[in-house]
Amino acid sequence: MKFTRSRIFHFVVGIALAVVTFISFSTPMAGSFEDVVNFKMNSGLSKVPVKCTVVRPSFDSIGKKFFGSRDFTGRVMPVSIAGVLPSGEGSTFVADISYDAGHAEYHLEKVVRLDPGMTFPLIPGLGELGRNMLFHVPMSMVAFLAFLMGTINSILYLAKKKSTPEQKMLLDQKARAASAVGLLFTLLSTVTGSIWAKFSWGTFWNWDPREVDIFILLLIYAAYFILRSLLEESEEKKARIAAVYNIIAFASVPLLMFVLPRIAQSLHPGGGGAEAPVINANGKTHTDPTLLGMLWTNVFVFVLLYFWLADLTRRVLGLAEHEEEDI
Amino acid sequence: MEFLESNPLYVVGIIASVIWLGLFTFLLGLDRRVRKLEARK
Repeated sequence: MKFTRSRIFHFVVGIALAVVTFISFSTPMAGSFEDVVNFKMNSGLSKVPVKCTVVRPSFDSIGKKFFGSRDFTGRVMPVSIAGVLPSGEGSTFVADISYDAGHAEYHLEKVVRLDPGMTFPLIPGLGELGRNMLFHVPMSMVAFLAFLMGTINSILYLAKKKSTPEQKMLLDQKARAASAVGLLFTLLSTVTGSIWAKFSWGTFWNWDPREVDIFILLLIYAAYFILRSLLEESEEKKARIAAVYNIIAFASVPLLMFVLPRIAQSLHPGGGGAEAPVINANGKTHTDPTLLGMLWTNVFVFVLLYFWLADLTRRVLGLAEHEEEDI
Repeated sequence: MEFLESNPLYVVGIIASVIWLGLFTFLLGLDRRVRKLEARK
């Protein structure tokens, strides 16, 4: 087997996908000491995982053992412990911490993971469901990129009047391939969002502005392929009509994906002018740096996957068209 | 459903599986198209 550039690329994308999926699941979730108190007050949750750093074990006047644990903010909090600490001073671990409001004391309930490295932030109201962000959000982002690439190729198709028929055919195939992969990612974004909605908001479909907008987008791009298959013109004319439709279709994408969901009241974060937790209108982030790093890594890997899928689809379309010409 | 509500990590697992399944179905569609073209030749 020859190690061609494309084979190495496919190998890297495959490994990267497996690695980011593994990291997305295996990174332990941890909140802060404030979360322990807030969750107890607001949702009655008795214990919350917290990333702890052992600072200095000590005993109080009646011999109760405490260890100091550093918070995300750097403050040292005293935590009572019944048994022996799992590791020495300076070491980190994730432990379920409870809060005794009567004595204003934190207790270590159970050690979840020793030396956890990075931790996934505890998002109020989402908990473990917050990890869906690492899969659902990249789907929408890649869908946007795919539609953008499709439109760029459609514009080039119409603009390059002096190109050879082969060059124009290639641009048309690239536009079709990008739109097909975009449609796939939009569909995956809708389905994954719908499953997430069931467990966060109670039903699979809530007629939320973002849900409706993505569904309209799905219909617009499904119509692109239906229109193309129904045309009984020459290949060249079909490609020209499809390119014009693709450009008009993309005009709705920023409106449906970015503008309308931010204007209308929405169950999604950032709706109705509220500040989005990931990136707000001013381009500033309020997100935990670890979550942001994981999110962008996943987006990057799915973008690589997009280029792989789009190239594969384009090559299949090219083969099919050559075959039809031969017949 | 109750099991999934109390074990939300499985919901994330389902979502990741849906994505993988969608991608593989798409690839399977492409593979079928290539096979058809090969059969015609």
